[in-house]
Amino acid sequence: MIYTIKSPALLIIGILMLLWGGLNTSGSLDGVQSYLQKSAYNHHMTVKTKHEFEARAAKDIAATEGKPAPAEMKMPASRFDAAKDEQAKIVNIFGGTFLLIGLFTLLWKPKHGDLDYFISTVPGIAFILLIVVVVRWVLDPIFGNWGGDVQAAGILSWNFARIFNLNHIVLGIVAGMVIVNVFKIPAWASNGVRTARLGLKTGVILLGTLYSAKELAQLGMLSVVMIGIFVLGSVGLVLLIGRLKKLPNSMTGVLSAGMGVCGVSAAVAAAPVVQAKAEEIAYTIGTVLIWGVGCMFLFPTVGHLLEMGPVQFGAWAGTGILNSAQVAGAALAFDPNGIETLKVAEIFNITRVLFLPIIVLWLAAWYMKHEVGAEKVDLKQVLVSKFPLFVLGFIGMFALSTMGVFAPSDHYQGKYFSSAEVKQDKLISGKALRALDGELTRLRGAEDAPVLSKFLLDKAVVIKDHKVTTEEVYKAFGELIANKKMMTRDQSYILFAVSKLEGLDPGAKGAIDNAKRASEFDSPAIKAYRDWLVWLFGFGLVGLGMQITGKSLKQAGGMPLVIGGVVGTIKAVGSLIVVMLFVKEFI
Amino acid sequence: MHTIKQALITLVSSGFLVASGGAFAQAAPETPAKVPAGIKVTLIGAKEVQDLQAKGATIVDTRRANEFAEKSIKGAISVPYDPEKSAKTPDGVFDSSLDKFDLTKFKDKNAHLVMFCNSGTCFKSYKGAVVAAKAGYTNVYWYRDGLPDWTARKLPTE
Repeated sequence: MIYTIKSPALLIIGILMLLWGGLNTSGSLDGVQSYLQKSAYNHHMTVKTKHEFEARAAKDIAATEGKPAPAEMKMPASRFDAAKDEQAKIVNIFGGTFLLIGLFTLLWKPKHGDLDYFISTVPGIAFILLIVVVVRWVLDPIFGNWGGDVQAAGILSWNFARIFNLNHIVLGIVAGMVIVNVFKIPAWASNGVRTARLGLKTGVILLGTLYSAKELAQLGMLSVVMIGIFVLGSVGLVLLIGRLKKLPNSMTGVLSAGMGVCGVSAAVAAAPVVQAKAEEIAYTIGTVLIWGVGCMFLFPTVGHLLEMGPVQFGAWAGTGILNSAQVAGAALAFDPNGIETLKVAEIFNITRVLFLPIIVLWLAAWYMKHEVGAEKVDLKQVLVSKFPLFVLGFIGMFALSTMGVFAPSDHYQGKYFSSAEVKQDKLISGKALRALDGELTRLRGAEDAPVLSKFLLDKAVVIKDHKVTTEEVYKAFGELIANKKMMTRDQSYILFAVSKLEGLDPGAKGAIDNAKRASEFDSPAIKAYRDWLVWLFGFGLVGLGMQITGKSLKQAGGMPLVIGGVVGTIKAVGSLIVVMLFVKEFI
Repeated sequence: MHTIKQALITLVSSGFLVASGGAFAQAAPETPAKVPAGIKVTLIGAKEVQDLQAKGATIVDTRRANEFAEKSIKGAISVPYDPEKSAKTPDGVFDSSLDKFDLTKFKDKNAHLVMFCNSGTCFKSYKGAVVAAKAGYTNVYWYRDGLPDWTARKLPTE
């Protein structure tokens, strides 16, 4: 069978991308881009102002000294220029590739084989990428600006784009849903669209590079306890209700795995154990999908309304939402530009998947007990063949990351602390040193020492399991003044906490902020990973949207949907309460 | 036929994109070139700042604390106009009740106060000066060109 479909679509996508790149490079799109990239454009204006002032001052100085006017200086590049270059680079690489493959497809006579199959996936990949690019570079900023403008104009007291998460992640999923349900996926794209899932799984695997053992130690226990309670709890609840409502044991079994563990893959893994029929798996997947899609859009909105932090939201989404892809979708929808929420959510997600073997064993025992004449199934074989591979990939990447392959192994939230690498021009200078000195003397004084002491207690500034004392603060101050930079992460942590003290001299506060920032570094490898991750997830999630068809949602129905809804709601609300009560944000 | 349709859509949409550039073009607003009538704030340049400083005026850096700590006019003090949530409009009208500016740092209402920030699109010094003048300070100056101009003239910074 020949998969490649002759269509000029790929060629046209290539040309469109190259056009965007070319117009950006030539500056024809500066007007549009200044609207789309407001913050970068503001930086551009700052650089421009500085440049104009320098030119004017140089002219003034030359005039007073009676020298001829200096030659025109070249304006340095701004973040706006860099952002445009970056966009141009990305679309030129992809657009060029698509153009060439598009030409090749039109001229080539496809033969049966691997090459034919690979080529047939390219137009679909290009199609999704084009959507991702448009959503991320055009729609996302338009909605962002719109939300901000409406708020600034006083029409709404809140930013609707932020509260409803109208960012590139959600818009990408919605775009996928609209395309598949309204326009249908074009035939030339259908093969490539299927690769989207691969993008998501690869994203989760690469996410493993962003964790360190230290972070896991903080989250590990919490995730095991929460997941343990809610996963096992919801499996048990489905089994109980299923028995009460007299559903077939196979249906109840597969639904419990789907609602408890991680949706689709759990349902598939549990199916042979409880000898579920194909339509029972379809019912379960439909139920999980309906529930998950709802959660994916609802969770981030609730998260913003309750003003949850990244750890809280990540813990909630990772526990309450069923499917790995939807967990990623909700976490990124909540916080599209940071990876922090996604990281926490995925730890919970992975922990949940790791419960899969336990659930499968439980279901096997349960099924044997309740089903008359149940056949014995080879459990080991089921576990090995159905265990999601990407979880192993994630764990492998995490192991490499902990060994320090990508960045110094103590990197925290993708950043690592280094005193030795602080640049010379970032050392604290005279005025700021005097401010710090003044504050140290003041805070030691009889009047202010109790204020500091009370502040440390109220804010529960804790380090290595003990409360920070005023003596430790004085020492941290003293060392900052002596060394003109932060020497240890603990010192940086203590001083950053104290910098929030009401009434602290702005000069001293600024010096602490600057010193903290100067000692924190992004590993280039980690930074590149982060960028690619957001692209991979964007790609995967547009593809996810394309799988949410009316037909697949209709597969659910009847009693399984009711039970799924009841258990899912209990789990979501229960985990929300637990998170709000017990999960605190780390500084 | 289908191909021609696709090509047409491509052409039209890219044409629209370029054309819309003009409509979108809206630079971030700059501070008013003059102090609005009725507000007792004097607009000054680098030369006057130096003269005022020599006579003992207070030079006020209205930017954020960490910006001040990094580099500022030598001898300036930091009174951040922060947070700044009010609108930035070319006519200079804003609602100062949305912002915070700690006037208690200036004890004497007759003291000479020079406000500056990053010039151009930075409204903090303008707003700070207006807030101070409205609060009854009689000798308020606004160094509109601010630190970029000061630095460009290679005047003393710290």
